[in-house]
Amino acid sequence: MKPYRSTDELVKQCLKHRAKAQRALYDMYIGAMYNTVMRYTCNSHDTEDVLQTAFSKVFRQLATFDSAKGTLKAWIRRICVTTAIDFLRKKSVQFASVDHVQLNLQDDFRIDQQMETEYILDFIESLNPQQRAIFNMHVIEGYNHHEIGEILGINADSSRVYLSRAKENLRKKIAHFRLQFKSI
Amino acid sequence: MSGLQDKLDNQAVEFDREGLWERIEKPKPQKPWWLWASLVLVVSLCCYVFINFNNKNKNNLNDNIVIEHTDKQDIITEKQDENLVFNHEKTIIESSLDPNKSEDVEVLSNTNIQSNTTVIQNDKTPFSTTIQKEKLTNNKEEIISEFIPKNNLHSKEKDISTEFQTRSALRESSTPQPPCLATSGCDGQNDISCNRFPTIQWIEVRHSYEIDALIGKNEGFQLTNVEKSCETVTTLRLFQSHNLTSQDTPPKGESRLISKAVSPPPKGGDRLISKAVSPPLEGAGGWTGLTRKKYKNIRNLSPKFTLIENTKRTTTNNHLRPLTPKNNPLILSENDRPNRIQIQVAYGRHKNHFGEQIDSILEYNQDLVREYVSFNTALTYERKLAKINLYGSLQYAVYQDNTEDEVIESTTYTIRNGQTYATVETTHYDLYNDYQFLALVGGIRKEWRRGNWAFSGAAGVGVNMYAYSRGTVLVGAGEMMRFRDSGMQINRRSVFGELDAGVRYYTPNGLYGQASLTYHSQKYINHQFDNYEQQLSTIFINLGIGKAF
Repeated sequence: MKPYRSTDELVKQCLKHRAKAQRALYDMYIGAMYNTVMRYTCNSHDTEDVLQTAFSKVFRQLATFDSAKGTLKAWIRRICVTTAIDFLRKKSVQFASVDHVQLNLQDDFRIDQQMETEYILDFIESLNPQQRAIFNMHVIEGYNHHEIGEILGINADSSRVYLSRAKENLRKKIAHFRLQFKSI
Repeated sequence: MSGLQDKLDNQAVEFDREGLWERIEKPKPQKPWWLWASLVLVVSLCCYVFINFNNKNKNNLNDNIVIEHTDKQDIITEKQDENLVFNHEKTIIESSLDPNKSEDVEVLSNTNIQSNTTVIQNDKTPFSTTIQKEKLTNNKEEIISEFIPKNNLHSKEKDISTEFQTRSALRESSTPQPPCLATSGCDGQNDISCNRFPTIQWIEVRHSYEIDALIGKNEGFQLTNVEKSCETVTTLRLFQSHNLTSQDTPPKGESRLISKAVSPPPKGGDRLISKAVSPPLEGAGGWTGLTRKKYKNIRNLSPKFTLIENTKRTTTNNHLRPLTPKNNPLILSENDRPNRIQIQVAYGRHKNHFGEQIDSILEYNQDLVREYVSFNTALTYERKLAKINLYGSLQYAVYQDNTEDEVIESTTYTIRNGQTYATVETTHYDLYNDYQFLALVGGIRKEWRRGNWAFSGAAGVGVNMYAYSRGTVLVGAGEMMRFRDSGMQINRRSVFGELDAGVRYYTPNGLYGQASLTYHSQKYINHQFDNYEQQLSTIFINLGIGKAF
């Protein structure tokens, strides 16, 4: 594969529609993006469909990428996430706003990074799609609630509610898991 | 959480990367401008070739119409697929510039339904023309309706008749008649004196109706030339398709074609009066397909055409003769393709008798025979001119001759009983000489076409670089002969004349095969070795293939 000194050069070559550069960009980010999308769809076939759409968008909209605003990987990830959200919407996963009066946020939950990846993914997968998406976006991808609200079309407080419920569910699942693990 | 993200992102996964890559829509590089320009150029060229090809086919394959125009009249010559030619005076045209000269040139009477045939011999025409003048009834529509169900023509001809009916009906119903601007004496549509009658094809269609009717009537009264008459209809269709559309209107001051054919028949009979002028002048509209330039060319190309004066409705059914490029210049036959390139191989064989004493010791028999066997390859370029073809040819030949002879090597005289006896020792030998020559020939060729076949005669002269190695094979030669000149390389130059007679077969795409006989007579112009004059006269049997383009 032809080495590229920087992502800018890679982007330039891709903008010239060089096939080798396009393939290099694909090879560089497809693994991470696959894992990212997989956390939303939890299905390999759906993941491939989302990635097909997402990378088509990437190549089509690459001219809009601004390296001053962020890395290429983050830009591609954003496209993949929004595409995955769109995909979930098409599968009748609705992200509805929640009345903030009911909020009772507990934000002391943290995922133990020492935990095995499979376990983490299993826990995330066990959430419902809405909570899983927002948990992924906030906890894994690092989006703030305003960004999440912007992507999902909900307000930031609703995002917080979904996230809180997701954490609560995860806390219970992890506690239950640890209990079982100790009993064994 | 960047650490967690990286941890999750870097998890090894297995999926069909290549398949996914193939599914992703990737922008393709844009074609450079020169590629588009080339594409446009190629498409334009193809269109140009296609249009030219179509026009050529129209002229070549369809039954052509040659319109010859003089001050007063036009005559159309029609060619049929069956290579038949007949003249049919189709429309009598007269100049609008001189309306006083307008006269009814076609008068059809219904007084006698049966054919009243008049034969007119016109010696002015390149092919003498017999004209049958037929008379019609005044109800053409009736005749048509009678004719169509009764006729025995095959379906194609029926279609043609039907087509004309339909087209005519459509035109009459849908094409609004342009207003006549004449101030008086004109009914606005059909008056012969109205010189503002704009359309042309309308008349032609009418004309075809007339001829249809004529056919039906002819057939009904046992005239046998139904098929030929139908050819006339076919021709009319072509004529129409070449030239005339309902929208075409000659501009002011330009030529126009006026017909009385559309007018209601006067009492006492049907009158078909065609009054027209001239083919369209420069800049005139109304001629599509057959362009003005081509029209002019047609006129120029048929100088021998002679008008038939004052003929009435005529259909020439006789004097059908094969159509050739000579009597119809519109035929673009293979013969008209100006250039030819030909590759030929030839096999030549010749016996050469000569015999001269070339040495005091050795003698040839006086009737020495050399047999030549040669293989000749030639690349020929031929250019067609008006009457003849010029050709130039580069030829390479390999010869081998074989000389069978006896050599008197010694003579012994013995005297016995006062008488002298001579004992002659001879050696029989075969001498093979190898020759090569490279020749450049130029000449003229005349070709006579008969359909796809062409018979030709040619004459040319050439120069020849000539080399041979002598005596490469000696069989049975004595020592003296063997050492004398075996294997000697000899270079010569010669001039030669060439006569050729052959036959060619042309395919429609210009390829041809040729078989011919060529006679070469060579005269050496320098000698390095032989001290005798020798002339090689070889007859080649040629087989060649070529392409006319």
